[in-house]
Amino acid sequence: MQVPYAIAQVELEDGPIVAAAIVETPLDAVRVGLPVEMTLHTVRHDEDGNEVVAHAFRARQGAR
Amino acid sequence: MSGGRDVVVLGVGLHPFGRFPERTIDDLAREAALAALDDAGIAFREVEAGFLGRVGGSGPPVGVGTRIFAELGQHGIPITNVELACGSSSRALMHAADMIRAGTAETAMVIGVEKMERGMLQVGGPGATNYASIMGLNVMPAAYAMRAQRHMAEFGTRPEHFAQVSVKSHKNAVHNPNAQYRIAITLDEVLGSRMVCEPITLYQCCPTSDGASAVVLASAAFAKKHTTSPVYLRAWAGGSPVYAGGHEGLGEGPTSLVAQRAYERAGIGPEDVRVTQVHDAFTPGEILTIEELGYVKQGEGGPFVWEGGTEITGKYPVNTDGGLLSRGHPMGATGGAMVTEIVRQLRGQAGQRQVEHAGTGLVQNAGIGGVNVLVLSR
Repeated sequence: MQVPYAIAQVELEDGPIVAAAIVETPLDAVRVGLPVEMTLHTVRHDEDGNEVVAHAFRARQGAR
Repeated sequence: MSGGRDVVVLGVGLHPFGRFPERTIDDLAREAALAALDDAGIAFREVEAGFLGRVGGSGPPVGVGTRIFAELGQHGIPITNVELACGSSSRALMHAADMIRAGTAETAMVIGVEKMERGMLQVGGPGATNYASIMGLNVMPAAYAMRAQRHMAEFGTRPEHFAQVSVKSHKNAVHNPNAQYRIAITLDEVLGSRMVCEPITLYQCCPTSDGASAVVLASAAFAKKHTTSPVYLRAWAGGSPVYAGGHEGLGEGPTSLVAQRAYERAGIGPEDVRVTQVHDAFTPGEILTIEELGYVKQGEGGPFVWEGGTEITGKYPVNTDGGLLSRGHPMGATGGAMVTEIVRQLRGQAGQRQVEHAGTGLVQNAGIGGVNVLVLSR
């Protein structure tokens, strides 16, 4: 990850909490309690040029 | 503790904490061990068991304890390596104390030692390719920063409350000849230093360090021959996280649970503790831990620190030797150094760091989820 970046403990709707990066979201908008949704984040490209992706979260669209 | 024999801390010793590129871990450990033996007033041949607390890093990876103890002599005693990340030597002390309490040994020595690289500790190891490392989640100051953020959101704790921990610890370390940083710093300097993980700035992070600690434990009967004013290790308890679906508490590991066990075993409550060492790898450590130890109610740690409650002159003096932040944090040596400071406080040997009426002290040492709490008293 390129600094600065945000990470968080994300509480899922059915209970468990997962640690994850918060992406596609202005850093100053990240706060405790922010509604988020899962998104895919490109980590790198493999030797064939395919995207390698991992799950991350972003501010839920339309909810700030 | 119910049952078993009383355990005395007969001797303590340190190799100064700092950067010593020209010295090996053997050098560091030997100097601390000889200081502890001298302090105990016994020869190494009287030690009946040895424990080494060390995490690793530069230097050989296996069997280090046997080699380190051979620096002092070889008379056939059992030697055990104990690794619990930053809590290694306090966990080693608990095993040594168990032997004496059980009657397996009259004396035991714990050496804690570490040499560390500069730069941030990589929890998953450098170049780790697991998900957490790739996504930037395996960052120790970030773990503390997230807890701090939650504390701020829930209780209104302010960034300057955390920064004040570092101001206080640096002030204390000025009077500690073994500390890595013996310079006072101001609140503005702490808050103005480079941001690492909000709200934690650079001067709110402990350094990496080289150093060693050594502690000699003995049965009360053995100790009687060497001192008339013993410091007792009254109780000790350790633990690891309890799975709660990700809903962990605010601290690094289950401190409140472990502290409760230690209080019960010692027959005391938090109000009886006069001097404390806590695991302040980053400044939120002190504020969150004094709440978990029951010194203040949850949410009140920030204002308590801000108003001087953990100063040497405060109600609950914390990290009188500068703590991890200023004394330094050679991981394997830290637990033993914490016990060393409490012993010196209880003996009245802490000089300008001395807490008045120090009769009972407590150590809280954490290592990647593992927590140890030890209670000492005269």
